[in-house]
Amino acid sequence: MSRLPLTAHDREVMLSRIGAGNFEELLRPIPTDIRLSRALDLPPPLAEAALVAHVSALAGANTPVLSFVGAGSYQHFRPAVVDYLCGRPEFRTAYTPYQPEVSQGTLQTIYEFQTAIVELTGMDVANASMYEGGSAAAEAVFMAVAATGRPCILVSDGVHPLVRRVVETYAHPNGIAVRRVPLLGGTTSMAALREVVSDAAGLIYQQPNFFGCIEDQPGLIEASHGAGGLAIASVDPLSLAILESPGALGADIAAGEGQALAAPMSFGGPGVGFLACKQSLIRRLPGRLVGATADSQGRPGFVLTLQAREQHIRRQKATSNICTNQALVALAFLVTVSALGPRGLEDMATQAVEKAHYLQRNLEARGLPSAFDSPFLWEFTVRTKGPASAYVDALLPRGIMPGLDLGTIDPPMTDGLLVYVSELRTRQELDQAAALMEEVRHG
Amino acid sequence: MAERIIYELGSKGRRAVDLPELDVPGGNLDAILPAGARRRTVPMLPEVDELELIRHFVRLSALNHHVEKGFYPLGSCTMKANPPVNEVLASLPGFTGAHPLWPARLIQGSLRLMAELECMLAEICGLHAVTLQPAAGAHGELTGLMVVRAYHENRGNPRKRVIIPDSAHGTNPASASLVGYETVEIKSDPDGLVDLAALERVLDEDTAVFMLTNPNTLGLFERRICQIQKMVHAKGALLYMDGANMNALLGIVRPGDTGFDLVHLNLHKTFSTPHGGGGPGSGPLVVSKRLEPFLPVPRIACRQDGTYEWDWDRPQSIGKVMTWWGNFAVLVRAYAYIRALGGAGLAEVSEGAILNANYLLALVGDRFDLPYSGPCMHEFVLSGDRQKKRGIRTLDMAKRLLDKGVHAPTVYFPIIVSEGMMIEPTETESRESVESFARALLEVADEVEHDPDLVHGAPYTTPVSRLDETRAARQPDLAYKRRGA
Repeated sequence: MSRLPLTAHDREVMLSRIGAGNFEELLRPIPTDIRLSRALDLPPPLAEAALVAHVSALAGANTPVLSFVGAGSYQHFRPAVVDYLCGRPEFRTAYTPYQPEVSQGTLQTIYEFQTAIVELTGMDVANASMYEGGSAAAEAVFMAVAATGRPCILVSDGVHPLVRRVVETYAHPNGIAVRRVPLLGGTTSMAALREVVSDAAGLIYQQPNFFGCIEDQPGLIEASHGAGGLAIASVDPLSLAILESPGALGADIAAGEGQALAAPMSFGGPGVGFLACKQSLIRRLPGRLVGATADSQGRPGFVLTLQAREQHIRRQKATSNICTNQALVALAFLVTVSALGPRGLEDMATQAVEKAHYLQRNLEARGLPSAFDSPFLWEFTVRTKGPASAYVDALLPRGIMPGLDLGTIDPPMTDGLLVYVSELRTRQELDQAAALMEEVRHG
Repeated sequence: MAERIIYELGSKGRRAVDLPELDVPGGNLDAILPAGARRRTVPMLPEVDELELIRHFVRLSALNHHVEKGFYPLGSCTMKANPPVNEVLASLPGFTGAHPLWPARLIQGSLRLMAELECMLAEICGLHAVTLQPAAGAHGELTGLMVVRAYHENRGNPRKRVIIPDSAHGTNPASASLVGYETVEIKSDPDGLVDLAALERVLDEDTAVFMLTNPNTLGLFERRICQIQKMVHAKGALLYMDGANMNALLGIVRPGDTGFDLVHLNLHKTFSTPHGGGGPGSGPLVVSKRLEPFLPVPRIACRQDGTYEWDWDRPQSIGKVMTWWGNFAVLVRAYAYIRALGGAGLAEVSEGAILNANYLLALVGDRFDLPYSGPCMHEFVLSGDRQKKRGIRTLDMAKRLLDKGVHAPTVYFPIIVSEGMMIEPTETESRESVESFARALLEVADEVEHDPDLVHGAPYTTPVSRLDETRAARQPDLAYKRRGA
């Protein structure tokens, strides 16, 4: 392999210094009968130009469309400066800052990321970081169960169904019961919640919820607290530019996915999970934390801290097993919110809201009303006449994906189309999509 | 010169980017949002212009050591070179613009790449099926242990215990706890390998799985792996391989051929995807045929006509370990890496890694204590006990290495080596580069003998000197608060 640096001459010199006659001698600890006696059966190697052509053809086998699908993965404006800075090798090719003296760049950006999450969520402390939103929610469940000693968690049906699936997967081996709380008119049913809340470690709700509806957050928090449980908010960080933060309303933990403000959709990853909590829960928080301190000369600096919670110190008694996280995407999140600033973030959120409501009014006028009356931000559920799949099938050949067919999720809602409107959509695109959907409605 | 916190920079009202004018009727937000739902306070976020933003992060970046600056022999982390072309490929708009919930007909390229990567990883491991869902190595472990538990539950008894050698990564016992298993730790034998007698004593019908790293964290191949697998399987338990050290085995030994039932890989280690200051990584889980039914949903299925679709109909699946399908952009990079090298090229990767490690060991080994003798595989562990007698600890030597323009090895791990230094050069370092690091390490060894105070006070040339970790833990300051706030 010409790309590897060791030449035949190098090998000779090195083996001689090692005192081995040939490379095989170095493999003598490996029993010969388990050695692979052939080359791995893989496609032949590709030189760089051929590799680019091959992988580009794969990327080209995806079909780009004008998409109104959100449902947890969102396309927003990404300032050019984000990839420009995150592509720097100093960030990209470093690892976990185990040696803080030569990692202050990474450490300070993590501290700044923690600060951004704390500010947006209204919590006291945030880690940096989790893999993504679903596993962040699952870790929040573990925190709540440990804090209350109650092996039962409530999950609103307004929580993303795949996030709920992740929570169920993590809960099962630990004997944690997952109880679902149904919706009423698009938001979590308070009556149903009161029936099951009494012995639960807490409630996970999503704001705005999976169907786009804004939940009565204070009511949900109060109901969970009233029964001695915690309140766990699953939130879209962009929404926190305009919606009251879970921390300010009294929730105990905020967990979520930061992809919308950090990374392209990239077929679902990598994004960046975040997990923030009130001060009282800090020792139960999983993952890395960076703290400010000073060096031996009194200069300010940063270190990984409170590591006694973590697996490399505490092993089986650790709060979590997380080690590698999503640091580079956390940096992208930080750069994005820094580029936009508080007003830019509010503008972006407001524009998405206005455009979504413009489309919703347009659709309603064309006989395609919302399924729910609740207020919403940039995502809403359209009640289709006939199966939602018909709208997808009819619009895809025109290069438009009109929304998520809710017949494909669990539990299915066959006449529901979950429509997401990014601030990137133009009025012309919105008008076009609405007109085409009306055509389908008329059959 | 410390870089100020970004929240202290700039000025109220500044921003680095603009949004276009709203092209639909606006001004409706107050009517749309219920009063109680509206945010009352503006979050304290940076307010900086674009140049100030760029300068802040560029100045911060200059404070980092990284692979593209210098040697980074962090044992068990495989800090190899990250091919730039893979960054280009992961950024292709056809990939980055794809939504995870688009219908299969729109995402054939992504599905095909994932299906082919699964096949290639299965071949590399000598096993049957792969899930690409786990986001990191520890996440792969967790997924693997969930699969183990589901397998045993399906046979009527989830079992109780996970056996782990005392040289294991901390993630192993932590992952075991997360799926409700007790951990039993067994001591290594005097050669640093699994003590078969100790294993025999703890193996029983309540053992769910034995988790083993091979080569182990001492950089040694578990030469009795065939006996181990027989003992484990005789009790109906499973054998799990922590694949963190797979960089030693590509094309040389396949875990499945040695009796492992499941193995997780770290694509950000073995398959060259950048470490990103701590992530994102990717931790695929590779399993034998009998464990496949338990893998997370959805699986990728290939239809008769050669197109791909999701298969959610897996009644025995553990469920999902992340919301979507894996860290796709990381998978693209690993796919490109494997396609660039091919089978013979991957074998050369491991040969180069083993040769570089043994060469480095030969260059420096006699100046340190070597608790377990070689040959090593892709990494080795030295002990600083000899230097400790002179009052210098491994931590001091690690800090002194930073002054010489290289990163320190992994230190104080594995925990069974006193004053341990775990050194992994990787195959992408040239002979001269390895020699240069050896000189740096030998200089430090000299300094320990002749000027121990110099080593004790290190580092001197780094942006900051040693940091007060006690203060950081006693008075946690984990988020910036504006003065007077």
